[in-house]
Amino acid sequence: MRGGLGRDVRAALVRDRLAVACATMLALLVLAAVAGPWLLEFDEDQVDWAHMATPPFEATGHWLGTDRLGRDLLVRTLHGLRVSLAIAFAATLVALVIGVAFGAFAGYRRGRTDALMMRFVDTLYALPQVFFVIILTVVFGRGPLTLLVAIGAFGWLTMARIVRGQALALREREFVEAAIAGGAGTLRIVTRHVIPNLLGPVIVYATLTLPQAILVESFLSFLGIGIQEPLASLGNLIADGAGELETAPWMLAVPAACLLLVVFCCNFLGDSLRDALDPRDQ
Amino acid sequence: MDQIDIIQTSTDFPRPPGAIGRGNAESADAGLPGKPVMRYKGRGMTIVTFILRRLFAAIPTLGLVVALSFLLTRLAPGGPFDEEQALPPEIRANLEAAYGLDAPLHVQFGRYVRGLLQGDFGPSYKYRDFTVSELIADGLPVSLTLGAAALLLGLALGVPAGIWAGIARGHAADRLLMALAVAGISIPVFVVAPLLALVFGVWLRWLPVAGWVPGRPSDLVLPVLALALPILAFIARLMRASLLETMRSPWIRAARARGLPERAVVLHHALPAALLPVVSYAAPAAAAVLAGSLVVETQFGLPGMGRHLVQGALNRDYTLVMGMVIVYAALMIAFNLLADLACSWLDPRIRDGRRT
Repeated sequence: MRGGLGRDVRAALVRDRLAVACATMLALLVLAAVAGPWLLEFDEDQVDWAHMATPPFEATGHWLGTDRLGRDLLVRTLHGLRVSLAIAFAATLVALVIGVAFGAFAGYRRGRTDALMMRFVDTLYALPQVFFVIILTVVFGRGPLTLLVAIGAFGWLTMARIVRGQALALREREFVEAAIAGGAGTLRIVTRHVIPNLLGPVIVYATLTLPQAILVESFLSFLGIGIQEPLASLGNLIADGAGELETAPWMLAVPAACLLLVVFCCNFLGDSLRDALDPRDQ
Repeated sequence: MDQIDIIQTSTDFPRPPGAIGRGNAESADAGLPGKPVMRYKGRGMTIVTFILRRLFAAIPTLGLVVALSFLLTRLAPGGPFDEEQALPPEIRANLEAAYGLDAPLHVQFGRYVRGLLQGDFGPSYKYRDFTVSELIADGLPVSLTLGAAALLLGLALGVPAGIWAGIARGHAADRLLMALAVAGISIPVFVVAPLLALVFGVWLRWLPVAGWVPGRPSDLVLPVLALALPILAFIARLMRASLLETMRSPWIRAARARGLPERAVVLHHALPAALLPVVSYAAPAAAAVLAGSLVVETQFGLPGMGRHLVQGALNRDYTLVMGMVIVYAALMIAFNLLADLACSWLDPRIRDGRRT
């Protein structure tokens, strides 16, 4: 079964050149975000007094220009990307763990437990999420940890619904019956038949949660209630750039392009993985 | 997948026990004689009970919003009067007594809810000369104008664009429109808004970059556009997909078999049914507009509720943030209700009272 999943993924990637390009691009971006700031010659808060607000591609040593304080924009963007990605990965992981555990339990228990648990999810769904994330940042103060908690607190809901639906359906499937008839124990059924079939939708939804988390983080940082200066994130870099539109438009262009690239790639990759892994399509 | 969910939630209803009647000339199944069609009470009665039911169902949600936001803000480490310098304890006690913060939690909550029922959201902790109600009354008209204009623009352009793309399926126009739509969906408002300001405000100098003079409509053009673009793009995609889906229905084949011109088939037979998912999307669209208005009001310097909310969050002004969140939640619930009503008006199966 697990070999089957791996084969599906490989087949999908070979079939879909765009998905390969997106996966490569994402890998490069993650690599750049992690290693880039060490390799480049400027620090993220190092002020270059001689080159303040210089445009990109000028022979100043700053490839993508500097901001109004003379800080290297490429380095700051990579730092911002690193912070944004770290928060998004962590929030997605939180959503994944809570969502899969909650959903699988509800789907496995069925009946009244399931109804009660899903009622809880429905109730949280009905709340205006963005605004509750804002309340949470007000309550716990601004900072990366608050953002992580706030995004994770709502991110697991959809995951729980998807996993629960899958778990409910999987219990009734013939191959599970066949496995029971074949004398397989619960553990074997869950690990060999239920989890591999859950894995596809979970992976797909995780790749689609990641850009969502990046967008929420950037949205809050843009408003000034997310990541705070001097720490950079894509959101507060974009907000910075939006404030300097008339004098330094590249300050908006560089981080915005970076954000769009990441979000586009994640969405394309998620869509093509969905085509490959969604059991309903096969 | 999302789309299927929307269709299902908008048309699949539990059947009322013992409410089976005969078909009615206006129902979608009218062409099939003898097929049982649900009849519940009279038509007007159904709509009224429907609205009442929905309003009633909204009360727990709103109550939860109030209770949760109240509890969360009271959970906060540190009160609203924590400044850089610690206040002398007597002054602090006086302040807390003046704002009623010395009472037990449930008493405070009771007071707050009683105030809410009378339209009183309490005082703002930071803007000490204003009550939260005054700030809401100040910002709400701006935000509502902005949001309503953006939703209308999204519908007015998105629906025709979707129909056009659906009719021209596979042709250049379809591909171009859908490529634009993907871009429109993927680019977040906080990138679109500054980009629009850059292009139309800074480079072309057609419109003001930011600012607000009451009664000057040119101030609203860019904000409305920035808010409407993602919704417009989503509606266009939804409309196209739903139209193509509907065009495969048996009644469309029947209409074509009767020799009706394609135009009439699309506009009179397919469109009403195909509009349902789009109307259902109005509620999430409203949520998107409300969240987007925070960004747009910040970017373009509009004195709406969103800016008050962001300022309140920055100042940790609990009552202000709570009040704004409650108003936003109420607006979202109202939009959900409106979308449901519009669906029931469009869908003959609901219109004829199949709904319990």
